Amino acid sequence: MRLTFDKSDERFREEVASWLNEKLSGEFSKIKYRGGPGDENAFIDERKSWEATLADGGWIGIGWPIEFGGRGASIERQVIFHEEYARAGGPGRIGHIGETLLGPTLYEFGTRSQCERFLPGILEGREFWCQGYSEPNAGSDLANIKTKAVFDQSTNRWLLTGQKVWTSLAQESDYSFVVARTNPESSLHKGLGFFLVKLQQPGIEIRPIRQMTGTAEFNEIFFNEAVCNAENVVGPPEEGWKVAMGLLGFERGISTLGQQMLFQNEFDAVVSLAKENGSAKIPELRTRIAEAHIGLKIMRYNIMRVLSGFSDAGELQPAALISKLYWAKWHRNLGKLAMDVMGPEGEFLIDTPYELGRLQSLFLFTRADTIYGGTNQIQRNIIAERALKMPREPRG
Amino acid sequence: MDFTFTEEQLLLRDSTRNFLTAEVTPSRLRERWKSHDVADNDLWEKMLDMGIISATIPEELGGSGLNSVDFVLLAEECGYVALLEPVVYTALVVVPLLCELEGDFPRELLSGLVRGDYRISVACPFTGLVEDADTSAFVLKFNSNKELVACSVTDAELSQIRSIDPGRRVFSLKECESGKVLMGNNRFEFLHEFLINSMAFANAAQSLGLTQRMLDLAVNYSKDRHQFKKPIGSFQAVKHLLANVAIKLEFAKPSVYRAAHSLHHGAPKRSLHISHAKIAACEAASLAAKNSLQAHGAMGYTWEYDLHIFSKRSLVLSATGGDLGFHKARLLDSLFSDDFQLGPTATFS
Ligand SMILES: Cc1cc2nc3c(=O)[nH]c(=O)nc-3n(C[C@H](O)[C@H](O)[C@H](O)COP(=O)(O)OP(=O)(O)OC[C@H]3O[C@@H](n4cnc5c(N)ncnc54)[C@H](O)[C@@H]3O)c2cc1C
Repeated sequence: MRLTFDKSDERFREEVASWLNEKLSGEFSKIKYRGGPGDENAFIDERKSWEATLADGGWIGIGWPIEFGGRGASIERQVIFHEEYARAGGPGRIGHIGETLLGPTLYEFGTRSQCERFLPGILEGREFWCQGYSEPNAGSDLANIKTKAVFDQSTNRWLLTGQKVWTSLAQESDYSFVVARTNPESSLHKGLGFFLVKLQQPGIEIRPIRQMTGTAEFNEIFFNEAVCNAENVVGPPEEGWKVAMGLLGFERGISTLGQQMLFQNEFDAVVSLAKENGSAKIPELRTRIAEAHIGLKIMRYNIMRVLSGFSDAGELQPAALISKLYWAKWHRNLGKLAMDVMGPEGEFLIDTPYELGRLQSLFLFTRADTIYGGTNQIQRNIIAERALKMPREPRG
Repeated sequence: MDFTFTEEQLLLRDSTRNFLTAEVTPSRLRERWKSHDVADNDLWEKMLDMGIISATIPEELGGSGLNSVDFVLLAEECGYVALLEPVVYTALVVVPLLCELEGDFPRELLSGLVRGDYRISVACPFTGLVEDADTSAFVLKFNSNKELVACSVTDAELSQIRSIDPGRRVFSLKECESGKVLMGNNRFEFLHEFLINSMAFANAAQSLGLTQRMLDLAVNYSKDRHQFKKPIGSFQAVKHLLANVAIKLEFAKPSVYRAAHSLHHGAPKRSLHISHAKIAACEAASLAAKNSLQAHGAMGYTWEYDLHIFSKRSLVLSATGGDLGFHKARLLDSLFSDDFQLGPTATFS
């Protein structure tokens, strides 16, 4: 156990901080604090060029291994980066699905040439990715995927037909990784492939779905013989499930580091509002703010504990299984606390037709935290069955 | 000691429910969102004809003379459909307040309400904001001298404030200081508390209905939606989510009915009872909003799905009429006061 950062890490912190401060003071100052949860549609173009700027600074993929174009940064340095990013008010990342989910999956499961083709686009902040997993009838039961992929020998391409749903940021993305059924006879997690699909093509239609925040961060994607070249299938075409699950491991583990650092900003906003509007004097709210503080600290200690284990063993420990559930619940409670701290003023929008303030967005968006990336109920099943090795629930 | 409602009270509830569920559908509410700036006059007229609006006005003035115990069930039904028209505030806040006052003018106002000549709204004692001010002829409020006045809306400058609840029409009023004085400031303390109590009670009763609605939506969805080849309602985790809401709801009900009774009888501890009811009912609604959404998965998070109509309404009802912090603090003050009665014989006090 070592609970401090060493000297060279602190120098790294200064480097990150001064770079961010400089870059966020010019043309990008208007996107500071923007594009976060519930505000994903704000300043899309500016945030895309911000990604390219980040890439120029060498700040995308800092945790990736050096051989794949990353910096091989330690967990400590990744934490420092995300802390400083949050402190500087860095805008919501459009590139995070590529950077934190697809990239690691590719260097773990992909071929050399797949890495050469797709990793640079991510590292350079040029190509944006979305996650094509869920379907109308495959939510928690992800293995019930019906989108089918048929191999066309003559052209050496796969043709995908079917529908994905709830795909975040699809309308802003260039590619989607798509899980589809390659073997029509198969069921559950057998006979699925993991495809890297270009979105701008005739066989694909994307329709935004409006959320209760009034914005449309997620979409439906319709595939009608959409094309995917044979070389863009990750892993064997009938064994994509393994790849898909590997990616989920990243989703529930290290990828949320950046997000969790933002929690401190949100918590601070709630505390300062409470001081300002007198809520801090109300016993009920004082108690809940104290609880939120305790939860936040526990969460950060735990993520450090889990991630340091991760760097040793190369694989998530059982303790990692609890983190998605814990932060999602904490965050949802913070959203409610924020509304209660706002009091009667909490209902007022900041603009027509339906523009939410920061804490209102927080409140509504955190209602999704306990759903995406595996619902709380599914997370508890995972904890019970994988960490505690309890008997599996009867399914299907 | 009897918590049951009479046959008559239940019949009235049923007919109100039938009317409201047929008329106030989610699609009609959504239509209203589009035309933010106009009230649904047609609906108001119908409710006037039905006598819901004048339900609590004394019989000698042409109303039905219902009390808060009679009306609580109707308020629940209004909550169930997320009614946008300020029917519950009219019946449970404006009318009782006017009935508290002496003199001819308040009686005249009540008669005008019965005839449907105009509407009357009331300013929130916490924020000063007024629901549906634009369709009202008068707004009841306290002026800076702490006198209760009836301001004529035509003299005021209104600006509409957009709410997180998309259909809600709420206004801030400027230049509305003067108006006919209804009551001097010697009764300010009493009337101020009276106003808070009536609003809190109105919100609590509607919250029960909203809770039921969100629960119904989730229970139905959990029967239809299949995952792992089974209805999701067959999974214990989903069952428990919704059973917990049912428990909160059923246990909130008697506290709201208790408050209705206290209000009706002017019980000395009515403020305590109302705070209790507001907390319990709004907590039930808050749990329903959270758990029903959870049971729906991503579907419940969409704009097109109706759940958010009800969850956003319940949020607003919880934040207004005294929020959770206010009512918990008021409850604690009362509990810790020296004359607070403790012990088994005080169960129902
Ligand atoms: C904001 C947001 C963004 C999203 N972004 C993406 C994205 O980019 N890409 C993508 O592929 N997907 C995305 N999703 C979809 C998300 O992964 C699914 O919503 C999630 O997996 C749940 O599936 P479902 O919505 O179909 O709910 P369902 O699976 O229908 O679940 C409904 C309820 O049943 C419960 N339940 C289901 N099965 C069980 C069981 N066996 N035991 C106990 N309880 C059970 C659930 O916990 C839930 O309470 C997003 C969702 C949201 C809300």
